[in-house]
Amino acid sequence: MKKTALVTSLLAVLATVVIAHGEIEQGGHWDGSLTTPVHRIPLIDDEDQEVSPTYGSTVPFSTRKTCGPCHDYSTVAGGFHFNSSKKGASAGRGGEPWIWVDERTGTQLPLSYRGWPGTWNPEEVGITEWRFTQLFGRHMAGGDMGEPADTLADPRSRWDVSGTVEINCLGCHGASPRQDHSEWGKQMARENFRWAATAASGIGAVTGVASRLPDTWTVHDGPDPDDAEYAVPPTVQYDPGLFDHKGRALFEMNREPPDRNCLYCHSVSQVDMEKWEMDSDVHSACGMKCADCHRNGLDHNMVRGYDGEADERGDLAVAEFSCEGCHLGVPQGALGGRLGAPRPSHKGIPPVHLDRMACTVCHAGAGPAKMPVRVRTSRSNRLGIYGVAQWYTDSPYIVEPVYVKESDGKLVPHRMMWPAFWGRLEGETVTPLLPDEVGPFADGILDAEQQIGRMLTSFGEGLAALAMLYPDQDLAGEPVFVIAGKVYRLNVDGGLDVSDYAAPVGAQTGHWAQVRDGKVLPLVPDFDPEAGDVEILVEHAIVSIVEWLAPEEDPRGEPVYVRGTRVYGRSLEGFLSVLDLPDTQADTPIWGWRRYDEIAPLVPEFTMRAVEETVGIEEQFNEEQVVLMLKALNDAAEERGDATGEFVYVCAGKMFRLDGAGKLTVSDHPAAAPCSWPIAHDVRPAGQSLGAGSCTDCHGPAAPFFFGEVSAFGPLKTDHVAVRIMHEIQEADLALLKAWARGVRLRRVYAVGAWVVAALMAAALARYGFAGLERAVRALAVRKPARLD
Amino acid sequence: MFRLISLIAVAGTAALCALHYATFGTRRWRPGESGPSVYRFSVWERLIHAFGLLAFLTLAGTGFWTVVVRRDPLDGWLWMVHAVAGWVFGIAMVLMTLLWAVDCRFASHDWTWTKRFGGYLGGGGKLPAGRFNAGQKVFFWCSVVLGLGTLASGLALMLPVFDPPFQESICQVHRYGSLLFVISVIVHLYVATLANPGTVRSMVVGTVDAEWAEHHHPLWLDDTGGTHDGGSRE
Repeated sequence: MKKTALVTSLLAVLATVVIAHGEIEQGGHWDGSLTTPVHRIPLIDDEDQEVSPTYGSTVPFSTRKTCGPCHDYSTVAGGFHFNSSKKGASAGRGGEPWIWVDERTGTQLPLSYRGWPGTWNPEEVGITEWRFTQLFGRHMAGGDMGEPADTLADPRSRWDVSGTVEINCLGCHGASPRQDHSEWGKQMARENFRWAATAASGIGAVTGVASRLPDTWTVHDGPDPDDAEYAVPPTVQYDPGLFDHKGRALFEMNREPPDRNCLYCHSVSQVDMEKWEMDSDVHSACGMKCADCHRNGLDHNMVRGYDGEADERGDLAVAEFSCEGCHLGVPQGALGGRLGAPRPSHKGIPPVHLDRMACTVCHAGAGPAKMPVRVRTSRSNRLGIYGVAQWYTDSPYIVEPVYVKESDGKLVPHRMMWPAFWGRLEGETVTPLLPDEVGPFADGILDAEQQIGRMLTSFGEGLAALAMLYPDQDLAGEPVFVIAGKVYRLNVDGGLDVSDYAAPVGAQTGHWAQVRDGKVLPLVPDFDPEAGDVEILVEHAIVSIVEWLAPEEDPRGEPVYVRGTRVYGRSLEGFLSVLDLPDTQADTPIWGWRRYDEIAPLVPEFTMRAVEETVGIEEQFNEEQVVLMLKALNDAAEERGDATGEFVYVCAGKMFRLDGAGKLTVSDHPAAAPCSWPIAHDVRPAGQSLGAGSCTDCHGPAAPFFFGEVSAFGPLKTDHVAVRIMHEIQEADLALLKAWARGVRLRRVYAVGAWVVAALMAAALARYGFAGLERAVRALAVRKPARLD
Repeated sequence: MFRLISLIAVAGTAALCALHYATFGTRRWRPGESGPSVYRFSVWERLIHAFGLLAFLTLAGTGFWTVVVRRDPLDGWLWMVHAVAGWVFGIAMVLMTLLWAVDCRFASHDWTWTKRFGGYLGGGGKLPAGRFNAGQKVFFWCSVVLGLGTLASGLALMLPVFDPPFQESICQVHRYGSLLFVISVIVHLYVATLANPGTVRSMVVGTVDAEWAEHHHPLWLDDTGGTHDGGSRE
């Protein structure tokens, strides 16, 4: 009995050791070979079933199950690209935040789970993992918040329908030309989370839209034979040509990701610059890949390459892949000049510059300018997703370079954006309101363009209907809105563009018209309202238009056309109705809503003013709209009996709020401070670095390095825009900088004078000092023999 | 390291001066209280010396305070003050050099003075010395050499043309040269004040007690017959 127990115990220990060993080996331990393994492997779905390439299926392959057996998934999942939302993950130096851009509400909210300066933690502002993945899945690498530990935490989530977002191994390591990041973005937009990696890899085509499926749908339900058009469940059709006779797929893989994969999420480009005009990073131009410096092991903790990273990570080897590590070398580590990296001599640069500035200050990003250049980034401006519709956004407004002092006291070039959001002020704390909460209030207030656009669409439909009645006459032009001498036309997005058409003289107040043959004409042919019955053509024109302005009953009232005291509408029978309202006197024709005896314009006057002020510029709304929004938010809170704090709008580096009289007031607030993050690319060669010209590159009297202006830009058109001068951001002493700039100009005089002084001293020393010394030596030499005698 | 060496060197020099004063200083010769005066330094000389001293103190203060106390490279306003004071000091140095180089030529009688350490280690009596004694001459030429070194190295730092590692070397030259200069000036100040009462008066009002001159610079007094550079026995 004892013997059996002993043998059993030994076997148990042995089994434990073997299993433990197996776990270690599973991590993909490198055997030392430098070849790239051929990835001819079976595809496994998330239920451990091998995928058959022959049949269509609603189940895509799972990277966890397919790649995991050789590359330990949990180890990879701890990597920097996948761990931001994990508790205890190292934040490292600040990086680019995720920015929730919602143009409808004028929100530009920088978010980060890592607690980087200037960002809001998504959890703290009420953004669940589901919502975050919906918003930013387009540029996520998978894993992280896309694979939540608890898929039931958010009752609004639909993880059961969409699946979770597994780490997209192929997104980085896929070397096939079929690898399509744009496809990834589209699949994520359709909430086809589970299918996105398969679709993006090109190994199979995915059709269907998970976001349209009912909440109760699961992947086991399969396709819906009754709906092949709208709520189509996602289905994969693999390309059999990419599988071998055993049903194994051949993946073209690279251990070091090709640059194009990195650039899907990490592209940065200057606005107003064409692609062909751009120089790349000097390293890329020399043939290096991103992964040559940004290396990692299986743990996927990338070398980010900043000063101090090695100390933070407790791994000195990391320092060898920083700028300094490759070019200058590190103590007790690699020598400089790695793989031919030029060793900089920095001749003439006072060493204090190297102590107090990161290499990137002089060598990376755009050069300093009076106004920093505006850039777009992949993740902030939704770049790299291609299709007929444009996915990218002009917002947020990001500029570079802005030189900011990091916590170690070193200057580092940053990109900077100014947050914009509606918030609730309680005490001194502002808590952002998410676009999901504010959105309903924005309709009718912030959507001035869309309101006008909807009207123009209706006018267009009405004119088209009229044209069908009179096919021989040219009656249907392009409807336009005219105000303040400008003519606005509808664009394809439902918004407005300022047209080149000349507005009629005196067209200052807003009115509706059409453009035919390049002329701005009335929508309805001119007629005399006092002449009794109107012409049939006029009647048809009015009836057609008002019918399209309100096809159904509209709470705003009945759409009408007003001339003088006569109000024309559409009777229930579909004919022209005429009403005389003596209190109404429209000297010029008016289109409006009639409620009883009141006539209101088709769109509120503040909407017209907003269009006049904001269409054609990047700002989206004006201060009047902010006042209305804040009132609406306050009124709604009052109705709910919610008296906590007050509502504010943060934008352009300021906080806007209503005073007791309902007027907009502006103040500074820490919540309005800019958010910035360090940059390191594109690296410029020595000849184009700061200081290559002279010291005055930075120390000139108006050098942008210290005297450039960074203006806060946001969706609100306002005169109250925060402007920060570079030296303020750098916490530098203005008087000293000015003195320095003057001093630099006197350098030559100083140098010549000082060298003259030194020469005179040297001459005196040579003439008298050395001569006296010689005399003393001679005296000693003469005395010595005398003493001997 | 430099910080430690600086602190030890300055404190050590001060301690040695104190030790010397305790051992010899109080027993050394003292001038009479109301003897006739001899004109020793012109206004021009005193002014230049004063400017030089002021500039030197500024340079030493800004330079050593930054490195020794603040433990940071010299920068900002202190750098500006240091740079301006450096220029003033350079001009003062060159003028002092031109003014006194002739008088500071070494002569044969300096050997006699030197052999007896100028009487600083005991032993009384007059020692042969012209307008400047051998100790002052050594200090003068040391100042010229150190001034030249610190000025040139300072210029190379302010108007750099070399690479940073070489600039670091130059910076060390500047620092240690300056430290030597500071040490020599401490000794100079001690000798001109506590060790030789009445000496500092010559640089303040321009005259010295005739008895003092007879004791410290007998050959100069003989040569000038009580006058020098337009000065006269009052």
